[in-house]
Amino acid sequence: MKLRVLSNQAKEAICAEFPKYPTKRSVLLPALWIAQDECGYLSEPAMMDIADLLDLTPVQVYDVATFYYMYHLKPVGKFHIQVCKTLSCGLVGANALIAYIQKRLEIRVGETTQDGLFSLKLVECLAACGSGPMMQINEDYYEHLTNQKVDQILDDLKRLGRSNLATSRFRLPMAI
Amino acid sequence: MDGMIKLTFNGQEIEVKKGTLLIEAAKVAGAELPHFCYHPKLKYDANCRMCIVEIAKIPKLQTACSTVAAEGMVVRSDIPRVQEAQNGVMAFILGNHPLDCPECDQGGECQLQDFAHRHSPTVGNFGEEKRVFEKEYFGPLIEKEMNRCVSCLRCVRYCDEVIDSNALGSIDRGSITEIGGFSHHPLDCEFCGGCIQICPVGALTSRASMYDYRTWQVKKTNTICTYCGDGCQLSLETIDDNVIRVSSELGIGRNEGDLCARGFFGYDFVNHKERLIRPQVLQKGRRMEVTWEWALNKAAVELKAIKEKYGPEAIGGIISSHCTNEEIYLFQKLMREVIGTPHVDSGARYGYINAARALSSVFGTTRLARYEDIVNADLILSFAGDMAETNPICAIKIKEAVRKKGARLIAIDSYNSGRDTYKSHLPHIAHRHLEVKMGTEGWVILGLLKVLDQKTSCGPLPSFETIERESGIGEAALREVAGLYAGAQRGVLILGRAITRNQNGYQNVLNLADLAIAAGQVGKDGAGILALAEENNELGAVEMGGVSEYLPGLIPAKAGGKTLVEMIDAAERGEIKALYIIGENPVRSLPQKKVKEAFQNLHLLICQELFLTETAELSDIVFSAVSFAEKDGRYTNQEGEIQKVRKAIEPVGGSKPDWMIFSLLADKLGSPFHYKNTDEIWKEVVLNMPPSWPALSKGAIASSVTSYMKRERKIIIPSDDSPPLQGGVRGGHLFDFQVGQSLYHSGKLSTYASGLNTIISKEAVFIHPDDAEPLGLVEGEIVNISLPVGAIQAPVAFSKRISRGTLFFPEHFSLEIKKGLPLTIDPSTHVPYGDRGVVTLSKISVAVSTKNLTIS
Repeated sequence: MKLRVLSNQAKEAICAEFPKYPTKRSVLLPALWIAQDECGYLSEPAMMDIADLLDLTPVQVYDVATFYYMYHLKPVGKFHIQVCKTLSCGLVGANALIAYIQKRLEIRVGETTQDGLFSLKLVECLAACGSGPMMQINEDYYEHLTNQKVDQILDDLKRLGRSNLATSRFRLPMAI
Repeated sequence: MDGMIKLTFNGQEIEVKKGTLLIEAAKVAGAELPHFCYHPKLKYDANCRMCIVEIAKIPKLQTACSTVAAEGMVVRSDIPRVQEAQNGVMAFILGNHPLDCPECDQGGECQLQDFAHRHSPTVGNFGEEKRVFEKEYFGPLIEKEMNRCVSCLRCVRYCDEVIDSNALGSIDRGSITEIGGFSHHPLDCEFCGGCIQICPVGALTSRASMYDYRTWQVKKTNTICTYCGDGCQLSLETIDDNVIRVSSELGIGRNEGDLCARGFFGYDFVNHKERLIRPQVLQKGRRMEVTWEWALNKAAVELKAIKEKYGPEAIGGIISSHCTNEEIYLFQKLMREVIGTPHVDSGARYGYINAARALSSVFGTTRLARYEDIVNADLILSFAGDMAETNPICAIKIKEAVRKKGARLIAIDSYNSGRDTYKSHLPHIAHRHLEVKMGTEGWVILGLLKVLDQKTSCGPLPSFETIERESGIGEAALREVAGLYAGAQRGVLILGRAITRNQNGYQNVLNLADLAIAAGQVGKDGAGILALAEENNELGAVEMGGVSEYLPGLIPAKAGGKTLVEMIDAAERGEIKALYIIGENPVRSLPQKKVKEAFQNLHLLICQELFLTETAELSDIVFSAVSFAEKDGRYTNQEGEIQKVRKAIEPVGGSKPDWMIFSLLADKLGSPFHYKNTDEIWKEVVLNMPPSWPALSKGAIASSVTSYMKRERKIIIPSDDSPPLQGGVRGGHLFDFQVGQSLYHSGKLSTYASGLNTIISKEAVFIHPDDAEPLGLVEGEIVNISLPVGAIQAPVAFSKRISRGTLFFPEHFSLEIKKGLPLTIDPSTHVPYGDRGVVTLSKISVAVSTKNLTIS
């Protein structure tokens, strides 16, 4: 089978998942993850490749990819900002923070800055309710956010590619 | 009673079959539970939450569509607790619905309207704005209005579970969920219309009839589809003699409510503006419209004159197998009894006669398997790889057997097992697929027979080595498949046009009959043989005596009757002076014969048609006939089911039903028929049939088989009849070439249906992408195809269904291509075979890019 965009390595990684699941179709979530990891986002040809590998039609892949917010259907910036919009963060000012980030980066939610550095997306609860408002940039958590902290984080990332204000890694909220 | 359980529903004790869902049990108690996502054809999804009921001892309310009734269950749907909850669910659904009923085509037949009427809280508690989706045209034939969608996903599930097309998905999530195709590309699917019909609201509607009607204005007439031999029941919905749309009812007819693109979108040829509305005659080279009186008199006078001068045998008749049983019966009566000629034939001659004659000579009947047998079979042996295109509803039965009931499908054909995106393909779901070299199915049949029929009562069979050399299928695979078939509890054998319309067709059907006998798969419950018919009444045409070898009731006719091709030859030689052709178009169907030239030798050509076809254009007299929508009668489908055709509209213009024209002509010829309607003709037909007709008992079939086995039989080994390629093809690439049917078209009529033309209106030659790639072909590029005689240019389209090394050309547009293919005639049945050949494909130096025909 000739793949459109996925590498043979990605194909092998997807095929390696088959024994773990009862049917080919149930490999869809990991397959999308592998493709996104390789391509940065889920392009149409990438989803068509997955469809071929899992014996599905492209729309069956698209169906699932559009359901989950962590799959990107459009290219995202080098730094993918995901701000929690769920209740706990909302009570402590997430909305104002989101407005501030949009103004600061001159983009709206769902968009990417022209230099391709930052993209902004809103997500559901990231399990850091005690330390909101918070956001996740790539795999790092940033908590107890204020406008000033956001300014510094964005500056750091732009200049250095990393920021000391990161509080913890993905899925591990700061210890209180 | 065994297998039944008792439960209490709304205080009423009811008894239902074990395994019944509560939503169905409710019907037994006379209650209809509100629902959107539940549909009896689909696995339950329980996503709409409307059908919730209270079950004693279960604290929370439960969805009735996903709860199986159990012994002693106490269920209530008529208590305030349940009704309040249902009203609450309804309030959420209406919270986003635009309530645009006045301009919605579903208005009047909308489940949301009906259930909202019963369950609406009448006051809305939502202050939020409703979601807004832009209206989308969802492909050429379907309108998508997502604001109306209740996200029940019936369409998505139908497309997957029933059609196996998988063209729809639920895109995004939450309140902005929408039904969609891949990334907003236009839909490129089978266009069965199933999603439109199964949508409980007006989210998916037909563009072909958009805003043309309000449902209460249409008159519904239940009738039978006029396209293929599946024999589907459909409702023609009409306003003032215009067919507005087609619908079908769940569970009704042999199709149980399923339709294909031809059935659902192929209706508007009926009111096409080019329909012939008055008889025409050719007078001194000019075609002019005349009165019926004039045309009938002219026909009668000239027929009589020819009969007197040259004898009745100088007259021949050919009738379409799209006509009703009554019409075919009456036609052969007119020809044989009034005119006195034995030369009667029909469209069944193009292939179905092979199956009808072979099966009835062995079993005494063609009625050997029904759709129920397919659905309940544990093994299906199919020699019809293109069935999802030729006989789509019968293919749905196979999909049901394989995907829902776990039957094993063995497909033997010259197709690839790959499928095209959003188009189902039977070899793709086959348990075992033997992909044979084109035209070598006959060898495989012999191979299977060789495994099963140890005594070789049919004479010496070729060696396994020869069979493998010819077909590519080795002994091990043959043994495996033959073993599976013979070992099945209920094995059903299906044969399609690959067998009946190609070289050695008659003998191949006989061999298949031998195979079924050797495997013990006839004469037992649930097993049998089904021969697919291309046209809706091919079996009827044979049974009504519309072929040269049979009188009505399959009674052998006296020898000497000429078949279709023989009549054309006889016309060319000047032996036949007059031809009466009803609904057939040999000029187009047999391009290899010089039909036009042959017809020029005729003294009289009478044509009875809906449109001025290529044959009608040559005719001295054209009678304007009516379509299936304008007449009564009966069609016999490929299973042998005789079904009523009902008149939905008055004849268009001054056209008349064929049976009426035959009666009028018989009058003029001095032998009046005196039939007032088709029922009177049918009574006569039934009286003329043998007592055993239509269904033959198992005992009679068994004794027919016994006497067949005693007869001396000789197997004719298939031969490759393709003449060698002629010069001028150097530099090209050799391919096997097949002209065949496409899902979206069927013969002459469908090309007048605007809905179908919207899907595909152009010809293309289909090639497997892996064959195209090394040649550097891109989709839409025009290539040169050198045929055994001559050459054509056509754009290429890619299809993974096409076997490597073969090309496929859909037959419904330019048939010029067939001119270059060899024509052979079956020695037994005189069926003309001219759909296959060997060609070379070569690139044209200047690539011309046109619109892609398929999405690969």
